[in-house]
Amino acid sequence: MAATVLGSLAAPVTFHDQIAPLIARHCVSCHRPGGAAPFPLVSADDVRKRFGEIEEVVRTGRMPPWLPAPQDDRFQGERRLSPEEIRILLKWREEGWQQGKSGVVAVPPPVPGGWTWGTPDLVVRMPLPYTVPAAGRDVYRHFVLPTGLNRDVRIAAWEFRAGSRTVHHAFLKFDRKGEARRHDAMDSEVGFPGMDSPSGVQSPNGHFASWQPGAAPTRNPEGMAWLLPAGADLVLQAHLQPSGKPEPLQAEVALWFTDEPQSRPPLKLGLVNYGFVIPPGSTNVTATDRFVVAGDCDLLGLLPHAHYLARRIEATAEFPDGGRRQLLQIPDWDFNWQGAYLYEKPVFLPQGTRVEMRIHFDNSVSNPRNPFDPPRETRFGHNTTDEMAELWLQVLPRSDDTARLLRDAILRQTARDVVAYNRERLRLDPKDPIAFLNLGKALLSRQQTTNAARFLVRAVELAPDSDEAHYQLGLAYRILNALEAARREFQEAVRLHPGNARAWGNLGLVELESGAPTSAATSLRKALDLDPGDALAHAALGSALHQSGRPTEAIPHLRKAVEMAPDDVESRNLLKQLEQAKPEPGTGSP
Amino acid sequence: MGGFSRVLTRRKLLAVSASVVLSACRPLKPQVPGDSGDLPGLAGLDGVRRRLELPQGTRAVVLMTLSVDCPISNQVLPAFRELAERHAAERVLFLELYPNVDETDAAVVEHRTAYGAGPAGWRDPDGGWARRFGIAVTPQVLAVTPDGRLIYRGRFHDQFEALGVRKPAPRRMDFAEALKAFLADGRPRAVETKAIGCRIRTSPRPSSR
Repeated sequence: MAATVLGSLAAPVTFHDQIAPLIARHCVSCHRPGGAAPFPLVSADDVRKRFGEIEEVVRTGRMPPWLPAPQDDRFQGERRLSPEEIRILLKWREEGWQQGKSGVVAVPPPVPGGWTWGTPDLVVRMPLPYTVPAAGRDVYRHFVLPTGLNRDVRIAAWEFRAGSRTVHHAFLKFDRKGEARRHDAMDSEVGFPGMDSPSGVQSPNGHFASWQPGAAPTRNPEGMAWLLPAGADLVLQAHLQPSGKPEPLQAEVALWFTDEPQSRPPLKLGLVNYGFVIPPGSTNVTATDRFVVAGDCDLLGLLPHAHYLARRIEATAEFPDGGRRQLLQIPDWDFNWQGAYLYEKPVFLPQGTRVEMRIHFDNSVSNPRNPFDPPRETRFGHNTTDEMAELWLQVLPRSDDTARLLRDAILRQTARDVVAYNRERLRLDPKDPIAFLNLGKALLSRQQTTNAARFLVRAVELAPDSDEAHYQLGLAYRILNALEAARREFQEAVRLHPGNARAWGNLGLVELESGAPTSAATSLRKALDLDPGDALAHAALGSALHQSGRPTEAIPHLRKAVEMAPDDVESRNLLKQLEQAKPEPGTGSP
Repeated sequence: MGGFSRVLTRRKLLAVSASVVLSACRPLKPQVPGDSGDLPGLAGLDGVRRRLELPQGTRAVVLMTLSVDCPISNQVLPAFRELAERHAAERVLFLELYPNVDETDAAVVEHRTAYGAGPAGWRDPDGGWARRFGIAVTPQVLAVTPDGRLIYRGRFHDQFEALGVRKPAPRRMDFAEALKAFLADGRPRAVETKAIGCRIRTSPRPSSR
């Protein structure tokens, strides 16, 4: 392209020869009739009449919207005008808007059927339109898109169709626990508000699933399809900008399935900082975090996230041999154009590489995006006027062994972050039941059970209707061998949410441990009705039935338990004992 | 930009006063009799040129420039209309001016259908107002007293710092503050701020060669 452009500098510039191809390359993916941009740029007239604005935004680099600075490791879909291209554009004006053969930009024709990769396997749509208000602050909202899937599927590719220019960016998530539906049902409006998704709503495992205007649809690399479980809803987390008039929004997502197994599962890890304080007027606060890569892997992409005070974002890798590499540099961060950046060629990160995130904040009045004048002290928080400091990495382990090492490291990092995050939530709201619950869960996972119970008791006090809080407290009591207290908590959890399979299962276990095998069997059967894949519930039910004097009924559950968890020695021994005592016809048991 | 300086020249004062005319009530009186003949006219949305008329007792005339496809003026429009409603009883005449000469009447009418009703809409068919009063972009607010003294010219609020630089919400409602100050004591302060938006096209585009 550079040769073409440089060649063009010597020759007269015409719309047909130089400008139209340039516009086609950088602009028409959004600036076309019906596109995401507010006006088209598909003719010489379109470009000429807006030339003043075009000149300003290309000189400042604000259009095309692309935040990262140029670097050795290029990203897919980079949208940036070269200095030569800008010179050509200006030369066109200087030479008097020569048209040449044609004054029309070649706009790619719509794909047949409207979807990039042909007929999708499934198209899900918001069941009802949401009306984006004409005015006011930006809207952050989740929308539930039921899939109606009755089997697990693997997603090879997906495409988002906003159907409205109000969508400024969106993340695709899913929810198999009905959490999003519960939130949606809290009022009569379509969707529910918030920049923070409910706990049951998750991103596709190991993927960013991010969309912004102009972004190409996402086809996952071979072997990296993500799992969408049966019965799960898709959840769209959208940032909407009012346009001046009420706008209906009824977005669609097309999905293409694959039968190929996920042979190369990517992992996602977060570098985050919750503890920063940005004093008013300050220009030198930096939030950092780092991660030491626990096993050889390839870095596929990055997703930075911050709000309006962030000005510069950097990610670097320090290799074990002392070398250093810039992974990402965003010199002028803009919340409105955030997105994921995937490398054209993955960056190899050998074990021991230190990846570091640095996010620089400017809380002075000279930051043109500062929401406050005079500036205010700002900390972590989920409102847009709070701040965040995150950098997510998508990595592909080089082997199963390194995958295990990386997963363990990510779990440790996540546990650390959960504690830091929820302590920050408690600082903001000392009566935040979710924070008490999450801290209790984190401490339970660290086997600090007595301490965990203290937080969980508080969570139950603050949110007595939370089945999850009662369930987690029940777990803590059970570990502490306070069986009667545990039983009460599990009973309350299933009373509040009869569909809580884990609570039924643990109620059964406690009843079994308390010497009540008959009631244990009843509870465990309910757990298995809700989740037939619970190996522990099968094992416990086998044991409860055995203790209730019903060995014949116990045997199939013990078989199932052993089949699902071959290392369950206790179930294996009991099964052997029962089969020896009463061999069933056709089992072939000795 | 060759329009207003901070202090209006006498001739420009006359321009404002003579172009904003009372009909049923009273025309804006030029400061010097006979000096209003060269002032630009306005056109209604039916394309017919008319002189603007002010109800008796009008304290201020406020206009905001709009374009049918400028995302910034579209986004600011609801707040402008809300302000107009808020001051409906305070003898302030609000107008919406479409200054781009290449926008058709039909396109303007379609825009007003899509964005709903608001203060009366006008065209600036020759770009005369934009040139005369130094209005350069949409949206831009101009507020003058009936006798042509400048109250305010500039942005409606400060949500847009530059093309492509947008705060989550305005920090300052610059025009609302200026109008409030004027209505409190009747003193036009000639406040000016920088308006950010889409450049106004006041002359037909050069044809391609």
